[in-house]
Amino acid sequence: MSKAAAVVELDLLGLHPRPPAAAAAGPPSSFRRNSSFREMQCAIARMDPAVVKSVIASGSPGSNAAATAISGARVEAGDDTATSPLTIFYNGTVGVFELTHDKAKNILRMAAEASNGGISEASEEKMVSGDNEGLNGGELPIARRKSLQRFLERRKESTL
Amino acid sequence: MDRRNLTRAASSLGISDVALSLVMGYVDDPRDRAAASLVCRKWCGVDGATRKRVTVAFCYSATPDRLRRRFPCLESLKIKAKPRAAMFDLIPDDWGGYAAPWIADIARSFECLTALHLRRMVVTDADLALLVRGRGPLLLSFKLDRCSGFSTDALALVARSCRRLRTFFLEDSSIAEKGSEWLRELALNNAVLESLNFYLTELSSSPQDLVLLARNCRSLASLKIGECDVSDLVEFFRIATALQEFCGGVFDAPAGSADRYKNFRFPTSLRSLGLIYMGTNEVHTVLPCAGALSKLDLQYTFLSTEDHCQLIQRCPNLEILEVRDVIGDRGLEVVSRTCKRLRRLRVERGDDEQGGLEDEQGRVSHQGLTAISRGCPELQYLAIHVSDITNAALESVGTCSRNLSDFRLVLLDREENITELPLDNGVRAMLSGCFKLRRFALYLRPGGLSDVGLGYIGEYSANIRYMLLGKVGESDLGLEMFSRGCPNLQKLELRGCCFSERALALAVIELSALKYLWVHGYSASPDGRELMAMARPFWNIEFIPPIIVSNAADDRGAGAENRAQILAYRSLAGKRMDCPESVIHLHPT
Repeated sequence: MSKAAAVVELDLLGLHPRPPAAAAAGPPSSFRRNSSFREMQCAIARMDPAVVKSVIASGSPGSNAAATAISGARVEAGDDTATSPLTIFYNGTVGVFELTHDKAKNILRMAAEASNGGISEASEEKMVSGDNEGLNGGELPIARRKSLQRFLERRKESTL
Repeated sequence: MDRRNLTRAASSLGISDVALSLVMGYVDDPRDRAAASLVCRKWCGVDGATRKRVTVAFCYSATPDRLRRRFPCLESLKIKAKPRAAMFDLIPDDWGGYAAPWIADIARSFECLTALHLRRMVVTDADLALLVRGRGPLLLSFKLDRCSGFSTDALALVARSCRRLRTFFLEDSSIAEKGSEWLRELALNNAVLESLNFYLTELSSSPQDLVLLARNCRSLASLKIGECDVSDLVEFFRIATALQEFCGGVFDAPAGSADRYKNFRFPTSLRSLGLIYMGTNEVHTVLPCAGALSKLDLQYTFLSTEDHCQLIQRCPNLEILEVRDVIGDRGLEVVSRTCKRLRRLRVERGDDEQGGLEDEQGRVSHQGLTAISRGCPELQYLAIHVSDITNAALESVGTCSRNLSDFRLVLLDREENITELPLDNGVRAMLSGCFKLRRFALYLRPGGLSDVGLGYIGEYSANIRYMLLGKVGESDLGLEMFSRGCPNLQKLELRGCCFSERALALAVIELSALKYLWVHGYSASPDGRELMAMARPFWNIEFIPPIIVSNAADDRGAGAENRAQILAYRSLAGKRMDCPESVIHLHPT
């Protein structure tokens, strides 16, 4: 995948600086370009080649393809997982990719790990537009039965 | 022409109405009865006229009027209202579940009714007054199970009016205490009481009233009370010679004065015990009857892991055991060696907060689970909160616990690193092996079960009717695979999963047997509009929208109350008219 590694066609990595897009959200200042380039590269290298191909095919170097939504691009992966657009604002450029939910999650996780101190849910969502497909389902604490809760609270009181 | 003759011949060769109703009288199982009622109009009529026992699993699925017209001769009725989540404080107080419309009908009609069981309903004093006016003298069994909205005044009225009551059950209800005369009234007016239960209520009881009860109700076999010091019950135990079951009663003496209980022993005739605040120094009170005990509830005791080991070692006849996870793997190993007749085991979640009070050894893991599965082959019900888990432990359950009809596993948040996740293969093995499973709950964490694993649950749950799934799966695809299976799933509860509204709606359509869905914490939209994909006749959709909270720093999980909830259910009653403001009725509009 050396061609993909050069990632000429993926403008968002900043190899071919483009005029800044009208995007409102800039990257978090804690991003360091070199390390994040490698992280992004790894994440994209793990993407389904068919997805990458379709992204490459529908955009050509020199055109603003990366900035337009690739709504027409068909994912020929041949599986039946639904894809949704993933929009990435990075270093003044915008890229939109049709990805499956798993791939999008992986990329987000990569990005979160790369940034200092971890990105909170809120800024994750700032980076991602399009379908909010349940990436934040899990922050619910396990509930306890009321009767047990009462017992444990009373016990705490009695030992204080 | 030929066909018409054939039909006429078939119906005249059929048995007479009288014979049919006699035969049907022997058909008890509600599912068999439901099937019989679908044969033809006549059979439906005979079933309706002869049906003795009905459970209305969800009170908004039908109207009292409809119930009365279909089953006019009911002898026993059970009605359930609030979602199960109400027991975990997740349902708003004003959500609904009012007993009033049902009691109004019951008081007027249902002349054969002798047993009434209301579960998680709101019942007022006025409702109870109306009920006892109409049905009081006939009631033999009355259960207000986890109900709220009434006071001890109404209990006194019940005590005075329902003199034939054999079973009076109030466990875990929220009751306004306006005095304790009701217990005295019960003792004075009733001579046939066999079972009285106000366990886990805040109601007080005087030892004198209990002694009076024991004197007058010679058949009293089961007593479960609130907090009354055990040392005051000596006289009671002496008189209540028929008593086999006792729960409640506290050991309230301050740590220094252990003398109070030095000479106290529970009677050896007891077969079932549940004691509140019992500590290490009080275990001796239980030892004389330990060997004969078939049921033991230690959930509300102060026992350490070692105490559990010491006590359970002496209880070889236990069939039902309820503990907190302070019992530890060590305690479960003792159970597996000692309690060969164990049918039901519940291991509840103890105090697992940082710097909490529980014994250091008080954690249950795959080790304890494996030991139990190997040592207790008769197990039918197993509910367990584990701090750590492996696939092998679940495989062991699937191989050894073939009698399980109800299995519930919760993976606690205590450990950051779990020995082995995801649990796809273990869950598959467990479900394949436990073919009698009817009820199943699995509460994990992100990464605990992949989409493939969720698909396995669908594929291997042929007989399961109820499921609670928490934090399972990775994407909508998992839910889709799940919904292609579960041929008999009637009631589904989902919590903390990542599914979208649309995926949930499509899954509901796919699950052909589903009558009831409850979802909390998912990928909600502000107005629930994607849920309309499951809109269809006789299907109600209620939605509690998410509340956007700017400050999410509350570590007690106050955010839980702000997450969206979905409640969708089959209903013949149309739109519910008593929704509070927080609940939006999406369908029917």
